[in-house]
Amino acid sequence: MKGWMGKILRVDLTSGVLRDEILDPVAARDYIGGRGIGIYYLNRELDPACDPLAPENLLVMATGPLTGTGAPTGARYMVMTKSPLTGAITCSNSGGRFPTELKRSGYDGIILTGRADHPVYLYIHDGRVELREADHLWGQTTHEATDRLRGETDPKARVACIGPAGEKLVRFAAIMNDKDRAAGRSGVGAVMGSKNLKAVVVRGQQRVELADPERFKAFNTQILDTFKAAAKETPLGLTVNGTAGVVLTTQHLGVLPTKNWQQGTFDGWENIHGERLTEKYLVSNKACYACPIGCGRKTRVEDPDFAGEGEGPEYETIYAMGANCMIDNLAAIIKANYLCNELGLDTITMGATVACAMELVDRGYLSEKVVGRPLPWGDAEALVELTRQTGYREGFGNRLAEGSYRLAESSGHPELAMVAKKQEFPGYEPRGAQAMGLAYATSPIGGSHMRGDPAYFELFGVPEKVDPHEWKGKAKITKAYQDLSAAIDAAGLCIFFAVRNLAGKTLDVHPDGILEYLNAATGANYTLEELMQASERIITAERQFLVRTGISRKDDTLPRRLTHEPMPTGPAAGMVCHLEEMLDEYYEVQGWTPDGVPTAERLAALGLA
Amino acid sequence: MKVRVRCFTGMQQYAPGGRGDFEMALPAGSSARQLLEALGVPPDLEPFVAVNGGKVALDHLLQDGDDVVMFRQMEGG
Ligand code: SF4
Repeated sequence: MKGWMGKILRVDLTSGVLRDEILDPVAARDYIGGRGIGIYYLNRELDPACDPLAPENLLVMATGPLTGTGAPTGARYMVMTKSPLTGAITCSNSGGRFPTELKRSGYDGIILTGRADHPVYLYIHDGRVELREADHLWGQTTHEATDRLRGETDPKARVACIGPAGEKLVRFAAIMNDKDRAAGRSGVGAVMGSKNLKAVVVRGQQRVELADPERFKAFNTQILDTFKAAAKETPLGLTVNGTAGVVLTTQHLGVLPTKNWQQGTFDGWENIHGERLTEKYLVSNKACYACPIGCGRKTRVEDPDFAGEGEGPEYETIYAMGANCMIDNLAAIIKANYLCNELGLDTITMGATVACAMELVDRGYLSEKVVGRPLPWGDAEALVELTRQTGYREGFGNRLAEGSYRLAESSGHPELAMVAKKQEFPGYEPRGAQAMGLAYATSPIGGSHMRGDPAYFELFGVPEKVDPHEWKGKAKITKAYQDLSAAIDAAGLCIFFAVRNLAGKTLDVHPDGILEYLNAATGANYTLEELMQASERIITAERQFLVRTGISRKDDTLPRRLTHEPMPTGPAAGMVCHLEEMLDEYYEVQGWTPDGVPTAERLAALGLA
Repeated sequence: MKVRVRCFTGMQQYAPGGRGDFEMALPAGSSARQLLEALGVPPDLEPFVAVNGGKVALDHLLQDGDDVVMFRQMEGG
């Protein structure tokens, strides 16, 4: 095979048996790779009723056919499993260097199952695969473990590992790779911890073969030239201020979630936006493999209360730990971000859970005695301390480690958890960006925008402006973006590059550029229709898995606050999110029943019956 | 009339003296577009302009004492 390596590594941690398996070429073509290959295996092999933290759960790490090819942002892999946070699937995506190294070790992906009887790590190198003892690494932070593992294997090896949070089964523990890149969401790190697997270490020196290197190179040159010309004309974008630059936009559209989503603007925005980050804390940009953007931020904080050095924060972290907690101290947000990276925690859920706790305390539903400290809005020091406690499940951190839904429910007020399918939202208010609400409610992983990002058309005007306050007609556009995200995620690309540079310039965002890259790399000769159908197959297969776990329309919900309480202030004042109306339209364009279940005809048409 | 203007990402170069936060005197009834023209912003640039905390269209009429924020739109996140 070309583009694909053609091989999957099977790891049974219970028996210690490791074996190679041929990647089925038909499945590869039909599901592309990454997220697609992940759902292909979950649907075939995982009991939907399985306890996410039981040995039977499957943990799939999958690259795409463009990962490691040199296609811009072809740097990514997907971690898919059943989530201990949501009970649905995960689609946790990460870049950096590890995914390319994994692919160059000869594998498109790894499928792990079982549970080792003591801590181990998986080491792949020079065509060999072994499980090694990891007792001496248990308890170490992701940074300590990574340094130690590179020391005892190969200084050039790339490491994906969990920190204390994953070991302690924090429901939103991340898998960190290259120290500071996160497969962050939905608790993939807890699944890894439940298997007693501390790390995956890879050293790979194989080449990713291309079906038509000339065609690939010619297209690559064309895409990069266009990108560079545009960047020269408008030297802004993610390179300059990282994703943190987005605070300016969300604040002035009234969609910056603030005070646990009680308002959409934050008075302290001037202290936390991207330019402040660049002026005061940026050391340098950091790019994933083959990425011409480099949105990553290497930062340093000198303020003695929050001193440290590391990577971050992203926009999402600034929203969740900043505005949402009413914290305008950027140094504290960065410090809490560093702790999340080192302990292996998802920054969005961490910040949003602290914000939820702040509201529970504010309303008298949670006592300071239980929290072990006062917890007023805006308490920067509390954010940092509670993040640390959560990573180790110490004190009140043990409650926070369950995520905001379980915290709010056990305090008698589940309606104060700002979640879809028990997963906390990213930082865009659906009352002022209607399609975002639909994306949150229908995402297979719960509250997320990355599996189809309406911010592009509602907030950033890419490829064209769409009124963020209108709900009519949003279902069709949202579906087009969700399909596009499936193609991006399956191919192994990054959404930040691909939406603008590799998709059509109309709202149906056909994956034209991805098609050309895929065909040049794999020789699979997809037509545009076939590629779009593969995206629909991935989305529908994910829904099929969710339906088997019992999920339907009743679970495609948003908190009452967003659908019934008008936004009190700011540019979106008076608005609610019209979710039910959009859902009716959405199921119809998907070919699902009004209850959100794919019809038999739809499944048959996609080869999923 | 006078308005307060703050320039962010990609707009600082149009601020008089390079200071991103300044007061600007304009004829009464000026629009956001006329403010941009007065600052020498090329007409095809179409930055994001917010007045008193919320995005406005460029034909929005400014009032004395308005707080204007402008920047070039970014994406991602
Ligand atoms: S845009 Fe950012 S996240 Fe995406 S590949 Fe580039 S550096 Fe990585």
